[in-house]
Amino acid sequence: MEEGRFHEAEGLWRKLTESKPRNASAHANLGLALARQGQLPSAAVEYRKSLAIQPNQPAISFDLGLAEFKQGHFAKAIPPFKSANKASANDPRMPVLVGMSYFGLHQYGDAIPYLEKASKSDPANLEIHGVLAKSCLWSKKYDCALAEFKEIVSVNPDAVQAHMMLAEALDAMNRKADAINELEIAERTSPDEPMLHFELGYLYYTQHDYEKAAQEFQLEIKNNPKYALAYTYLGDIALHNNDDASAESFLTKALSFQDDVRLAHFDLGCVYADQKRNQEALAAFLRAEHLDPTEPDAHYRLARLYMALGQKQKANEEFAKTKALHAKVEESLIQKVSGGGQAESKPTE
Amino acid sequence: MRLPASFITRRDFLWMAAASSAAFAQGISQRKVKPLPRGKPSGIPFLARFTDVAAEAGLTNPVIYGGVQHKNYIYETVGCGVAFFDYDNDGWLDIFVLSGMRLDEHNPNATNRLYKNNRDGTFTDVTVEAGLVRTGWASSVTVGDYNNDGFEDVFITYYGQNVLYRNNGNGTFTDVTRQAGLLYEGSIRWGSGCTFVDYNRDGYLDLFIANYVDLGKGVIPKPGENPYCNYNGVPVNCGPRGLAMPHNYLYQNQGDGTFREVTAQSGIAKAEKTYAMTAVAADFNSDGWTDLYVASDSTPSLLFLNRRNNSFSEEGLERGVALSEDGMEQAGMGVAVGDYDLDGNLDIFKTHFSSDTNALFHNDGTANFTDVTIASGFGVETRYTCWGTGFADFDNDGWPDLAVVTGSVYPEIEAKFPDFPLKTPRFIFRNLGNGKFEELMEGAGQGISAAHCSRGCAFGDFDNDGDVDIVIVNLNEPPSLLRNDLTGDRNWLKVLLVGTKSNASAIGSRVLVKYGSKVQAQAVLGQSGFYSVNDRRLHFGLGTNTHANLEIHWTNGLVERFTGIAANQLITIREGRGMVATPLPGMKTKANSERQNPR
Repeated sequence: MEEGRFHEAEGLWRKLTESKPRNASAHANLGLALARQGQLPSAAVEYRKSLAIQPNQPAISFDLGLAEFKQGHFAKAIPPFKSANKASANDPRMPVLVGMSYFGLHQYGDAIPYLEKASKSDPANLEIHGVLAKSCLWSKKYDCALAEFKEIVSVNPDAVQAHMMLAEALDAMNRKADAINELEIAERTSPDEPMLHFELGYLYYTQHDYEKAAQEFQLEIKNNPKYALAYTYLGDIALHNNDDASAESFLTKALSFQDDVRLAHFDLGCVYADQKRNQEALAAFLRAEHLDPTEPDAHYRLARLYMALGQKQKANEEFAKTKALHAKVEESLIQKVSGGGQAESKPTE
Repeated sequence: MRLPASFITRRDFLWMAAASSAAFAQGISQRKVKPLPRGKPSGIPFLARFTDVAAEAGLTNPVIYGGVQHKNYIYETVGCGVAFFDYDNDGWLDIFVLSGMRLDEHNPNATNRLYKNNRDGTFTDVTVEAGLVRTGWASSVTVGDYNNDGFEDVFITYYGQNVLYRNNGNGTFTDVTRQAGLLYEGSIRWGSGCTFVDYNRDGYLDLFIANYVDLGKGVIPKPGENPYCNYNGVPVNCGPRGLAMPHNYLYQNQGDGTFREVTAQSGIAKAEKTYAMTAVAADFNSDGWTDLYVASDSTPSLLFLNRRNNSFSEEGLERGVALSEDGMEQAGMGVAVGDYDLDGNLDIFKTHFSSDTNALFHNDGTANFTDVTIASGFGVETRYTCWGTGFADFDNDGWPDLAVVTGSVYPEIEAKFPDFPLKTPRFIFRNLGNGKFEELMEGAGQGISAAHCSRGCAFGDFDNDGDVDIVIVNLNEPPSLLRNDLTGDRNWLKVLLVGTKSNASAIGSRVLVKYGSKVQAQAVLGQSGFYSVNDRRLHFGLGTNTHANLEIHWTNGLVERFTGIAANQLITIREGRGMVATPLPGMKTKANSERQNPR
């Protein structure tokens, strides 16, 4: 093993496990030999056998956790890491690995305390700051996200991704102008960064600054000529500006690159409906409805179109779907809101 | 570390965030729509200028309504309406202003108020003498002669017990709620919009009452108590979304001073429950039977079409007036009814919450509506929470314009978000005559551009000078009285209908006025705007036309025509008994203004 002859070591440890199947050390060493050769699933099996025979082996628990972690089995990695952590609470690797495992499981809120501990142990490690920042962002702990991303860009002002994520946090905090500012910094640093122009454009779009939004979407298309969403939003802006011809052109192009963009189908339906191209509108709305039947807009547009086409039964079916979708949302809200809270006083007369 | 395959993209994230803030962050449907870019100004002079003369006219008492800095519960925020009506039949519009109260203090000023027109541009508060002092959470008002005695009566909805006041004809009113059978006991209701309506054509005004939130079920959480009671992180009052929805009520006038509830048998109860607000009664499909339209907050608005058999069918969705053009719920508050394109049909304009456009629905004459908000130019304005509204030809050019009053519902958020102030300006959309409207603020005078937290508003000619003025409820401030200082020499005509077989107030009757090549429809309404009542004298700007022809569609089915009517006068038409033309009574010429009991 020490000479790196893992295959030979594997053979020797395997013979020992066959002759002495209750030898915990033999299973652990066989696992290690397998792991060093990249045979992580087999290694994990041996580690588990070893731990079954002799449970209190922090080092083997750690190895098992690592084997599972490296396979992307984050849920399986966490218990052995935590077990190992009990015996060696000061091991700086533990909070990183547990935090990363939770992050890998998208349990961002659970990841935060471990990553915060890891970050305190190794404050210069920007990767840990980055994962912590993302965990904060995606668990909607925006103050924490802001602090972490700011730490990253203070150390590395050219960290484009950090600026972009910082913008995302600011956007979520409704600090639109600051978010735009961060994206503009990122744009100056790395104008060819994928998605950067689209994100900036989208932010302008949400702020109803369509002229700037359209410019950014066009820049994104220069970087990525087949980016369907950029074409979709250009089409949406054109539709909004009552420029049906441009809208149709952008939206058709968007769908030629990616056929499952619901907004493109829906907007195209609106363009056709405006122009009384009813059959084309019908097809577009039906496609939009198919892509997301939970959105009432396509159902309602279809209903109105069917009415115009004299197809009352189909219209009523679509009206009913529209009504049901709205009612479902209202009922759900009533359950959530009126279910709790304090009783209010009656009116004074 | 590479991000996992199911990494949330920024697009997904933003969409999720947008969806959650749009639908759930606070309790009002806030359809996030994009304001249209503003076009170049038309450059056409607008001759109307509005000046707020409330203080000098004597309208100085504030409309008490909930907390000033904080509003903890939704009923502190919604506010109330106002009526322009002639309670003493002297030919001069009086003003009736509703009021709320405060949760945490007794305020002796918190009462509805009746202001008598002194015929010199000023008013006198006659609330006490008239017997109208009442403290409570008043919502809306409808005015009509329910007992056909020639004097306008008043019905008021409340968060609490609604009230019917009979006009005694001597300057006083009597609370006849109990005698009329309109008292309800043992349940809490929140009456919102209401309108007198003769739905069964028996010549007596029935009563439609909308309800906003069902407070008998569940509880109202406190501000910030759950994620749905905050506005971008600021705790605010909860609702209406998340609170239970009530149904609306219809009461049939028995002709003996009493009413009988017919909610179930009339089909009103069958409609989807909504957060109903302003109610309007008019004949939208031109079949001679009065229909009902109800603006609903954050839920589909309702169109009750009269089935001519004592019942209604709710067809808002199918007729295109329930939702936005894209099928989204909108926070319907106020309603204007008018004929913006002069095709002789009654169109509908509905006001909404900020971040959404208001909506204009074009009527093809059969109550099939098309959302023409964008095409007509209303898409440029999404900044304000809009309430009271009305079609009126403010500059007498022959094309009905439109006014909207605004105000936030969250006083708490201004400190954190200065872009969302509590007090916001009014605006006029002047009709350009080509199907499009142009927004005016400063261009319509200081009274329009001034910022207030406004709710209801009523339109009428309080100084009888041949143009349309506006009275506006401002929460926790005195009302605004916007005098229209119109210049130029354009012509006009006012039409006052008095029913003899139809209800005396002629509510629901439709008037077509033909002038030049134009024909304009208007209806006599029992309520419109936001919870308010306009001057019952219908005002038609005639532009340069000096004569007009009239066609009256009475609610009982009679159609009368009058031709060659000269401009610039009041035409009083008694159903089946001809018309009387009079000049409007002038200021301080009392002899001119005395009128006989019209019935």
